[in-house]
Amino acid sequence: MACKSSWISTCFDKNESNKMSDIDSQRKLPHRDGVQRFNGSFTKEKVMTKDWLKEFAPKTPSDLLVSKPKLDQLNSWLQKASKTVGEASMLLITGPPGVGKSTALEVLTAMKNIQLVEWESSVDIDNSELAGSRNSTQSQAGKFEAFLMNSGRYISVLEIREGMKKLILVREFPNILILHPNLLQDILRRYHVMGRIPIVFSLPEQTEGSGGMFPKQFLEELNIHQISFNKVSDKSVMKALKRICMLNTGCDVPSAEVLEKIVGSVHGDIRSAVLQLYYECMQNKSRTREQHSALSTEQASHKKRNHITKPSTLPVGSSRKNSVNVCKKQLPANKTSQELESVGKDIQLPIFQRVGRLLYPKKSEEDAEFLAHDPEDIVAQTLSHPRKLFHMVLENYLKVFRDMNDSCRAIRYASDSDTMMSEFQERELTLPMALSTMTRGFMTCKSLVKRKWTPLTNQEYFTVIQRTRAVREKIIDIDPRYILVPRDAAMDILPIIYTGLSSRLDSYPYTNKICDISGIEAELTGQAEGRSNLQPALFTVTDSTSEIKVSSRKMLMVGKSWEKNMKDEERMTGTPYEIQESESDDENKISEEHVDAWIEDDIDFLDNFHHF
Amino acid sequence: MSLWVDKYRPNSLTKLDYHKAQALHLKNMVQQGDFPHLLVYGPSGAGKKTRIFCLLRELYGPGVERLRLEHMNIQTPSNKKIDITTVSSNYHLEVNPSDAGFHDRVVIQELIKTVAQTHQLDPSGQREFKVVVICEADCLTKDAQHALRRTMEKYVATCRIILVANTISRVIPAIRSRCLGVRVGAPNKEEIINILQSVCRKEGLSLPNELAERIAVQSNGNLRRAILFLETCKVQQYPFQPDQKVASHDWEIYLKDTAKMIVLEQSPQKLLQIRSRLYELMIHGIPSEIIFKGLLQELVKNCDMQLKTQIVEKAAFFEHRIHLGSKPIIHLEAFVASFMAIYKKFMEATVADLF
Repeated sequence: MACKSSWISTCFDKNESNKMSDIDSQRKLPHRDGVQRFNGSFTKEKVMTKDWLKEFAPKTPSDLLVSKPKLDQLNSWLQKASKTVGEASMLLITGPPGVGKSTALEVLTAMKNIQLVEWESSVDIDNSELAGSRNSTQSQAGKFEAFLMNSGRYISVLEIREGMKKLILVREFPNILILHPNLLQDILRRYHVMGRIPIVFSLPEQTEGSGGMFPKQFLEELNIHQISFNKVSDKSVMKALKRICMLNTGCDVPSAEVLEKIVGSVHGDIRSAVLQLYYECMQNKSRTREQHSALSTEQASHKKRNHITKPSTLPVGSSRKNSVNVCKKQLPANKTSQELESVGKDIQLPIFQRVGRLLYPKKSEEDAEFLAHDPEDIVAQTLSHPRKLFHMVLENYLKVFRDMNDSCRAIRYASDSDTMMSEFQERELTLPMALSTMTRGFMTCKSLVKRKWTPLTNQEYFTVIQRTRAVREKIIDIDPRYILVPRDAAMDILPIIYTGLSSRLDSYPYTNKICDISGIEAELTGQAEGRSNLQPALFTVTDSTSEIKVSSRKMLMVGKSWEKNMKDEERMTGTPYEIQESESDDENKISEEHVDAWIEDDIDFLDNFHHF
Repeated sequence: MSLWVDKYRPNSLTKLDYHKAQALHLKNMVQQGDFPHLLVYGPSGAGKKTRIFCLLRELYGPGVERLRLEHMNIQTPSNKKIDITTVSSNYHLEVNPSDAGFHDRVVIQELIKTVAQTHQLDPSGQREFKVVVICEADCLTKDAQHALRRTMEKYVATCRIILVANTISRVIPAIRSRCLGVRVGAPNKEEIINILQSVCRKEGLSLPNELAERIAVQSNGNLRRAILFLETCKVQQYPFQPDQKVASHDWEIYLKDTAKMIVLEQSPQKLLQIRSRLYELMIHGIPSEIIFKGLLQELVKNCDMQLKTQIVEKAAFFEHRIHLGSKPIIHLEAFVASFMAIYKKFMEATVADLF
C-alpha cells in the first residue's frame, strides 16, 4: 500500500504520502524494523534508516518555528482563500531556505483539512506520453499551465474524502518560466481569470538587485499576497533541536555544547540543523562502538542519505538544499567549532546587516585593537552589488556619526573609493580595493560610539536621479531645442521662466529678497485677476512656437526611454527590507523607513508645473 | 514672440557684435568651401552656438534654419535601447550625446556613421559634406572621445564635426589636435552694455546706462544671462529706474544661503542638511563645478589667509576628484566636511586663545 501510494502520489498527493510515511514511521518505531534502504555496516542501527527530517517534522502549529505574526498571516490568508469564490487567490511565500516555509504550509493545511497539490517539473520526457500520441511533446510551460488549470477543475480519482478543499503549491518552476518571467506572468493572468483553486508559491528569497519572477507591479496587478519569512532565530533552532533530542530516544543525545555549535553554524536553517544533529548523533554512536573508519563511512552514508531523501521531496523538501554539508567556508566566528566536521554554510548577510556592521563597528572582545567582524567579509559579499551598499552607507553615515572630524575622514575615504570605482578599465582590480578602502575606512574612523536607534534609508540617491530626470523633461517641455543645451537652459532659462514658483527649490526660504525678484510670479497671479500683460509672452515661450516641427510622438518616446533607464535602479530600491528577528546585534536597530514623503513631494512638484 | 535672447540672436557672421576679427576669419574660411573639424570653446553665454549657427548659415544658406526634431533609436551592445533626440536640418545635425549617460560612445559612433555614410548624390549647388554639431563635448566620457577620434578620421570626406565645449581641459589631446580650436571669449562689460542698449532700441525701450552697467556686472560676462536679466527687469518695472534691483537667479541665492549655513554650524547633522540642499541644486541641473565654485567663493570670505590656503587646497583636490569619480555629490560633501572640520578646529583654537 505504502509503495503504491508513493508511486502514484509523487506528483500531487503530497499530503497523502506524508500521512502514509508518517504512519509507516509510527508503526516502525516501536518494532524497530525500519526499511533497509541500503546495505552496509549499519544494518543493526535501524534508527539510521529513518529520515529525521520526516520523522521529527512538526505536526502542530506550536511546534513550528515560524514567528507568530507570520503564522497568523498565513492562517488568515488560508481562511480567506478557502472562502473566496470566483477568482483564485494567490500567495507568495519567500524566505531563505530551511526556515520552514513549506512545513508551515503543510501543517496548517493539514489542520484545516485542505489537500495540497504540488507541481513538480518533470525532468525527462515521459515514455508513456511519447507512446500515447505523436505530437505530445508539450512544452514545459504548456504542461505547467495545463497542470494549474486541470488540478483546479478535476478531483483526483484516488481522492478518498469528499468535500476536501484543495490548494496548489508551486515550489519550482519550469526553467523556461524562470528565464522569461513574463511567460509565467501571462499564465498566471489567465489562471487568475479561469482558475478557482488558490495557489501558493514558495520561493527562496529573491536575490538582491534582480527583479525576480514576481515584480512588485505584477503582485499588485493580480492582488497576490506576499508573506516573507525571516531567518529563524538561534533560540528557536535550539528549541527545535532539543525537541528532537527529547523525542529521539534511539541514540545518545549530544552535549549542549555540540548543539550550540550546530545552531551557530547553520545560520537559521532548521533543515541543515536537523541533518547536522543527525550526523552528530551518528558520530557519537560510532565512537562509543568504536567502529573503524568511522568518519569516512559516516560521511559517505550521510551523503547517501541525502541523495535518497532528495528526490522524494519529503515534508521539508530537501531538493534545493544540496549544499548542506558542503563545507564552503568557515567563518572566523566559528573557528572554535572545528571539531564539528560537516559544518559551514556560507552565509550571505542581508544588506542592512552589512551596513550595520559598517556603521556600528564592534571591537573584538579579546583585543580592542581589532574589529569583531572582518571587513574583508563585507567586501567579499558586496562585490556583486557594490553600488547599493555604497549608497546606503553614504546616505546613513551622517545620522550615526557625531564628530565632525570623524565624518570628514569617513567621507574622504568614500571619495577615495568612488575615484577607484570609476576606474572601469581595471575594474576587477580596483573594485575590491575601493570597497576595502571604504569598509575599513568607515569601520575604523569612528572614535566615539553612541548607539541609538536610527532608521536606515536607502532611496535618496535614486529619488534624486528620478527627480533630475523629471526636471530635464521639463526643460524639453519648454522648448525642444533645449535638449541640446540642458546645462545652460537649467542654469539660465529655467530660473527666469519659473522664478517665483518658489517651490522650485525645496525648503526655499521666503525672504523679501526673493519676493522682490519674483516679478513674473506677480504676473502669473495677475492672470487670475485679469491684469496680465506679459502673459502672452510667457505662454509663447512655454508653447515652444519656434520654427521646429515637433513630431507628435516626441514626449512619449522620451518618457519611455527614461522609464527604461529607471528600471534597473527601481529594481534595486524596489523591495522593502526589514530585519525583524536577528541576533541581538546592533543590526537590530535598523529598519526600513518609507520614503513616500519624497515621492509625494515629487508629485507636488510636477503638479506645479502642469498648473503653470 | 519669444524670449529676447532668441529673438535678437544674430544670424549672420557679419552681424555679430563682438570678436569681429574672428567672425571675419571664419567667414573667409567658409567661403573657401571647406573647413576642418572645429572645436568651439568658451564660457557659457559667450555666443558659441550663435557663432556656429551663423557659420552654418553662411555655408548652406537659409536652408539650415528649417529645423526638425528627430528621434533615433540606438541599441547598445548590451541590448539596451537608447533614445536620443537630435535637432537637424537638411544640412546639419545637432546632438547632445551626454544625454545618453555613459552610453555616449555608442551614440557617437552610430550617429556619425548614419550621417556620414550617406553621400550627397548631387554635389552641385551643395556642399559634399554634412555637419554634425556635438554639444557639451566636454561632458563626453573618455571612451566616447576615443571613439570620436577614430570616427573623425574615417568619415572626414563626408562629414565635418563641430564640437562645442565650455572648457577644452576635459577634451582629450587627440581630439584637440584634430580640430581647429576656435575660442569664443566672454564679451566684456562695454560690449554687453552696447548689446543691451541695441536690444532696447529694437524693442523701443530706453535703458538708463547705470542699469545696463549693473546688469552687465551682475551677468558676469554671460551675455545670455544679461539679456534675460534685462527682460526680467522689463517685466518687473517699466520705465526702467536707474536704481532698479537686478534679480539674480534663485539657485545662486540658494547656493549662497547654503554656504552661510555651513559657516554657521559645523556638525554631521548640519552636513546632512547641506547634502540635501546640494542634491536639490543638482536636481535642478546646476553643474557640480558651478556649485563648487559658488560654495568656495562664499566660504573663503570667512577665512583668514592661512585658512584660505588650506580650504582652497582642499577645494582643488576634491574638484579634481569630481572629474575622476562618478558621483559628484560625494566629493562635494567631502569638501564641505573638510571645510567644516578645518573651520571648527580653527574656531575652537581662537576661542581657546581668548581665555
